[in-house]
Amino acid sequence: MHHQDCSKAWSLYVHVPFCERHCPYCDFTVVVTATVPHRRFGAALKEELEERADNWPQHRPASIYFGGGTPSAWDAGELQAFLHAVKRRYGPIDLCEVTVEANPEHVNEHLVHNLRDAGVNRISLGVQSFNDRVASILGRAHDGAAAVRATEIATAAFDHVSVDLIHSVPGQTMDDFDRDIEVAGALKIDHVSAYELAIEPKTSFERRARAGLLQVATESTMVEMDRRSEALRRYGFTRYELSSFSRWDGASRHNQGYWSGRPYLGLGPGAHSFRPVDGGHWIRSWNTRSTRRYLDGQRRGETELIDGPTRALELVMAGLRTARGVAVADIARIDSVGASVLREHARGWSREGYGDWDGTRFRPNRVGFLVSEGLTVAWLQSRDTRRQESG
Amino acid sequence: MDQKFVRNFSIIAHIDHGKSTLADRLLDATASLTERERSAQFLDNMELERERGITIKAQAVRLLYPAKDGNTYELNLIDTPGHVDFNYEVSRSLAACEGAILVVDATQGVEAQTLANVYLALDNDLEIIPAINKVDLPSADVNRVVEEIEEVIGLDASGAIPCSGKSGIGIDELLESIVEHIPPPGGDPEAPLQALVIDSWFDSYRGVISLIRVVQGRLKKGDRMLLMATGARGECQDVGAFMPFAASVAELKAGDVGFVVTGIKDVQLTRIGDTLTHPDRPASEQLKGFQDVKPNVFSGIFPIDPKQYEELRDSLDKLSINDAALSWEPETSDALGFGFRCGFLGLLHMEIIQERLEREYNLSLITTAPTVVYELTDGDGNVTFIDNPSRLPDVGSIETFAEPWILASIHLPPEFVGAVIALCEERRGVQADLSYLNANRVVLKYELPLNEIVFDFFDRLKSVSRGYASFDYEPIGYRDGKLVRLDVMVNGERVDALSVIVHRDHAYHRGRALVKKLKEIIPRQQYIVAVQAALGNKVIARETIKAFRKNVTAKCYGGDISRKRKLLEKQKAGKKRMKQVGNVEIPQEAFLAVLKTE
Repeated sequence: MHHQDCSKAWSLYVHVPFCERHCPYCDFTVVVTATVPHRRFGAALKEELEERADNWPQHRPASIYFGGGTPSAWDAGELQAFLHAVKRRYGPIDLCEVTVEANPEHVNEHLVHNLRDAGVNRISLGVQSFNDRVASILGRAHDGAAAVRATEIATAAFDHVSVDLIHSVPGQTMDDFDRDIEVAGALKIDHVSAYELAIEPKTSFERRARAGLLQVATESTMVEMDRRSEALRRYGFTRYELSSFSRWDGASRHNQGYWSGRPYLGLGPGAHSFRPVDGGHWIRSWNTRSTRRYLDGQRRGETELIDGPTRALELVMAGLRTARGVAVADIARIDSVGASVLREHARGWSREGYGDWDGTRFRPNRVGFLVSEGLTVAWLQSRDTRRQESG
Repeated sequence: MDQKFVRNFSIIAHIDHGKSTLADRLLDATASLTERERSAQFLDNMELERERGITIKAQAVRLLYPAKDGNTYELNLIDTPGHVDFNYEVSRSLAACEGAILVVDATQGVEAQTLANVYLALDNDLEIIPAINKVDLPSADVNRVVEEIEEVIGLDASGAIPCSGKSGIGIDELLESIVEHIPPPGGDPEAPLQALVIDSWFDSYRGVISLIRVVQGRLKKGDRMLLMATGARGECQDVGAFMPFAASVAELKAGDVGFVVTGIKDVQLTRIGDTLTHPDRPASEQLKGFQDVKPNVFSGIFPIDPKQYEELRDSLDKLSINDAALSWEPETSDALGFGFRCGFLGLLHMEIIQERLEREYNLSLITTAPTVVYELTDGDGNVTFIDNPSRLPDVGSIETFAEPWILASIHLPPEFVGAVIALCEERRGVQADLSYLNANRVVLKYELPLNEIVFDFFDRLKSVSRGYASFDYEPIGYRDGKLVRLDVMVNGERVDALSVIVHRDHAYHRGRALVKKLKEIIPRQQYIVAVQAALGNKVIARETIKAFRKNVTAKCYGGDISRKRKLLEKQKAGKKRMKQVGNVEIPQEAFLAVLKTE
């Protein structure tokens, strides 16, 4: 994939909220419906793009990402029409990373060719597990064989294919997960997102767990599963982020944009946007989570102003999740106290075995990834204490 | 008003048995409070008191009651605090009365904590009117409660009045009974002035105001005054009563209860229990029972943010204006920095002060474990008192190391005797007496080191006796003890604020329990932390605290960043109440854990 001037790179996100069923672990903004308003939704997205894009950079975005929900449940022709509107505004998108999330049961020759013709060049498959039993516990519509078939169709059409794998699922054994890794490694995919099942509030899993009907994995199980996910290295993958593995230059440009604090414009219900404003401040805003309101044109949700120290926190938080880590110089530009606190902490962190410190940049290792929130909170606390003391 | 139409009384009740509500009904039936005034329970006037359901400062209210005999009576209701820490204040309030209403909850019966105050009232020869409250509740059992009062307290309860503060049942009967059964005050109005100080507080406009009971003589505006115990002098700027709001009266005379604006600026000079008289025609003697109340529990109070030190000093200053029993002086700790060593009457008093500092003055504080005052004698016979374990001199120089002892009186039903004896023995107690008041009531007397009861003794006593034991104590002097200082080291460094003085025979057990407890309390840090207990240079117990907790491995989209950031900000805020000691953060609880035994 090609690179353009990274300092100006920004990305475009489109949230497609429609799902045919509600997965029991999912807390995203979704609408379960058998009758997707394909045209109305496409029209609303185009309208939002035209209305809001003036406040974002005028050059082509570095990446475009259709996430969900289930983007593959939306009419591919409408998706194509939307990308057409993007091209009209920004010119050709051949150099962009254009990803669409898809459910394995939707993937067929027809779909992948339509998407490819529309300008899509990357598919992210919501496999979760190649094991029939585990996929069914997770409420997925596909079985293992269908997931393999879907992945093969996708890899035949696209150079860039990602597969999601979830571990620490109730009823999933270590062997089950090892097998998922083996299957994924043998496929011609260049990206795997592997992460543990998180029991999120207000999900069906959470209610079942609270009622004692779900055997939630212990911390030691999760740590062991995480360790086993690193078996992907045997297939040439590197872990470039806490939950992301890539090979053959397959790292997701889109997600890296989020983690390095670049601007993004999010369209669709519940989508978040982020852009700089004057005085070193940034604004994060998000749309209403209600698809009905969104379609009625009442899109706006809330807005927050991100000041320098808050932005520094986000950069440290996200940076400590990535193999690239966090550079003192990047923090120093916006938060000098935070930068010197980071320098002090980073030295200790490397001594304690959480990663490498070369005097300019701290790069977490696997252990560092697993405690990155703790590291971030420790940094935040020292920084804020220091700021208070210096008045 | 003629003395024979005056009645001075208190209400004795267990927490939750409805004293304040009953007092409100008495007010309703006599004076008239507006709805808004009534919305607050009148006698408990501090927010904190209402939340805890206890009354800290005594107050008095004057009610005018037109009785069935055609006469109007002046009823002075004197409120009393309800906890062992304020035993002395209670005794002085009761000394100002001729009678008391004993309120017992009809659904619960006699509770242990009521007993100590009933006995104080009997000691003061008060006429006691039993009242069975909450009789309108379905689970009320008046007959059983009457029997209990007779059996447990030994009072004739045949005339007990069933009532309900909530619905107003029995309030008229109660008022009539007060008029009929409580004797009017005596005392010669023409004798030299002798007035008991029941309470004193500081008013920022008028200076110290004292609540008094005139025992003999009279006091009016303009009189010069002398406090016989402290020797302080003042001029009476006003006298009055609470009806229910403060109103001036022409004079207070023998038998009256009311307030006096003293013209004195320092509440330390108008001590509870002191006798007020005229300097030019003084009473021949002070009223009995005055005690100079000294703090007997000490703890260090430190601001979490060192910048709040001055603010803390100002706040303590303001609090002590109204609280003669609170003492404080600057203290420096290696671990906690600059703060104050504060002295309290007891543990409740300590908790109340801490809460008021945090709530009313908005301070974030770390409080060290409470300790008693130790008496050290060196080889040359020089005696020093130590109220801070970290200030203990080199053990070699100490000839004797003595600690204060108390005589505890515990009243309890016989079925709990075994458990309570076990508790007292575990706390190094020496049994002094065990006797049966009646078939249902045992009085157990134990000599105990005060050190052993300053922390959770009261809680443990309540739990082993299911709340049925009442506890009271008096100091009985110092005794030499085999005492040692148990130190806590965090990553090899002694944390002075965690040091505690314990009996040598308990040191190993306490050391092990303590580090275990600290392991639970001290959160995971960036690095592995070692917690050790040591006697001198000898480490007797060790635990390690692992580093960071694992976080969730999940995808991080653009839409997650704000939410994730806020979670981390929240985690950070949750750590606020911690003190950085070296490179380890130690939460408030840790400083109090040192005396917890379970």
